[in-house]
Amino acid sequence: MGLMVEPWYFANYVDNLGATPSLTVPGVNVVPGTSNADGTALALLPAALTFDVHYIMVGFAGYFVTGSAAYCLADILVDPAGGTAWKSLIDDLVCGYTDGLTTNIDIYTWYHFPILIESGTNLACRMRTSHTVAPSGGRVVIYAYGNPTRPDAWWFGSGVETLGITAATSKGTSVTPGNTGVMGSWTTIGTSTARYGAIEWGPNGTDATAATIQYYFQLGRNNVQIPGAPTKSIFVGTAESLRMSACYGPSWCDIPSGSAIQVRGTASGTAEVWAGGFGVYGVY
Amino acid sequence: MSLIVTPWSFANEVDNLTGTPASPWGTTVTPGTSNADGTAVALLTSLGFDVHYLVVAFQGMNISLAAFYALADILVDPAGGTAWRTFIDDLVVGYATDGGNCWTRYHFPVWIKSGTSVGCRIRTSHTVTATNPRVHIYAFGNPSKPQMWWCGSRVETLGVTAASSIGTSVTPGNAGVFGTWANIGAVTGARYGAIQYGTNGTDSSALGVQYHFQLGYNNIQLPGSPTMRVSMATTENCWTTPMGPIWCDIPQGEQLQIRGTCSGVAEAWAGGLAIYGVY
Repeated sequence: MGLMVEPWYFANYVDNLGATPSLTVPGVNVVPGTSNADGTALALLPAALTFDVHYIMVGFAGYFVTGSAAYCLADILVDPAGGTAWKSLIDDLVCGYTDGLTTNIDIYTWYHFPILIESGTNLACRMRTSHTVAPSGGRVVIYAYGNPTRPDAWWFGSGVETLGITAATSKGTSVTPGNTGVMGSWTTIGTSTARYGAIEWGPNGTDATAATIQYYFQLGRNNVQIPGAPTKSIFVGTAESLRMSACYGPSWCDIPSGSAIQVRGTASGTAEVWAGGFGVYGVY
Repeated sequence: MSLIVTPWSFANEVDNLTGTPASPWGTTVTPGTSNADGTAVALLTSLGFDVHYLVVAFQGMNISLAAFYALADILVDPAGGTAWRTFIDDLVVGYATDGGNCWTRYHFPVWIKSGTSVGCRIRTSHTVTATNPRVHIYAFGNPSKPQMWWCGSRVETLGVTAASSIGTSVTPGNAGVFGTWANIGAVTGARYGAIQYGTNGTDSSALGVQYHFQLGYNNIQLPGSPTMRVSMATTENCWTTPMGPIWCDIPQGEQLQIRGTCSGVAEAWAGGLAIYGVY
């Protein structure tokens, strides 16, 4: 029971959905740099934050190229002075293969970060892809919440550690799922160097001839699934794009420094290697 | 800064993503037609732990060229069997698309006792049921620091007319201009600590346009509640960008509202919208 705990809420909120609803162009179009070079940074919000932020949700859609292995990484950038002297806040979010916005296709790849960003800060994003041609229809959407009325009820961190990424190839750590409902072995993505209070993870695609197949993936430690980070269901289409199911808010955790963080998966049929790999992001 | 607050986690989690992956996934729950309840189906059997957070999602509650308004009840049997009683009434789920693995999701920080079975039954206003209706559920339990996780024990439903399987009609404004705030149901009957809202479709000849909806009271947007992005297809199905739990502190006796805007010329949401307050 939780009725002895007083309710609370975020006092502030802002997003970049735009004033007029749109199927295909919510948020902003961040164009990745090609051949593993960073693209140009683009502001996510039209102005500097007017309140301290304690929680951001960032969503990616449309970062795929049919017939190609377009692995992608995104950096979330800040300028605390409210300008465009960007420095990285969150490195290398994997977002390759994210399906494009069209009928029945929404934003499927979401990252939830309970993290402090000071009022007055500008937020931006820059991306890179392994491919020689940049995906053309990418969109990045952000929701930012601030000032919980009961700060003791909302854990948040001040940094995010990225695990498992090779930025030079725009990839995460390769995972080979098991076939037909049998989980593959746990693959270590990286080892934490701080105590995490929340954790996120994401996929970056298979190959240039992706099979239409369904996957379940799990996040683990010591070969056991982390309870607060439930199974993700991921559908991969033949257009080298993916759609992911899970969205349930931040994945709260208490993971000590020095922990090996793992991912494993299974497929509806014969699994493909996830050559674009997985990345893990720990909030500390 | 809150770094003096130590981390916490849920100790337990269970879902109905089991066995071999499938598309679509989840449990089939077939709506009853003509506003009669369908057969109850178990989603989770005899929980092995106390639950403090429930996420339920719906897909395939649509028929092309039909006004497929639909309501879903979340049921429980505390004894772990199938002697169901209602736990959450009348979640609006009509028009939830059967394509693209989109889902209409609800997030409830609510307590359910260990040993309880959780089920679902659905009704639709339409005379023909949907062909692939699916329900997906996650249940999290036992936060290691209970004081960090507000959860209630009940959910109040506002704005639904079960006899016609609809919520409260809202007419959004056109082309980025918000319409007027529409009152949804009666005033709140309890103090809410979390809140959700959902949509139930327009009509049998839906326009392919996009909407933003906002939750409010006293003609202002409720603090901490995000704008909900909803897209409608000409095949009478819609999909919604997920929002997660919405924390709030709404007193008893408050009149809650919803307003919306459209990418072009808005249609009236005749299937209506509804609000769910956790207390």
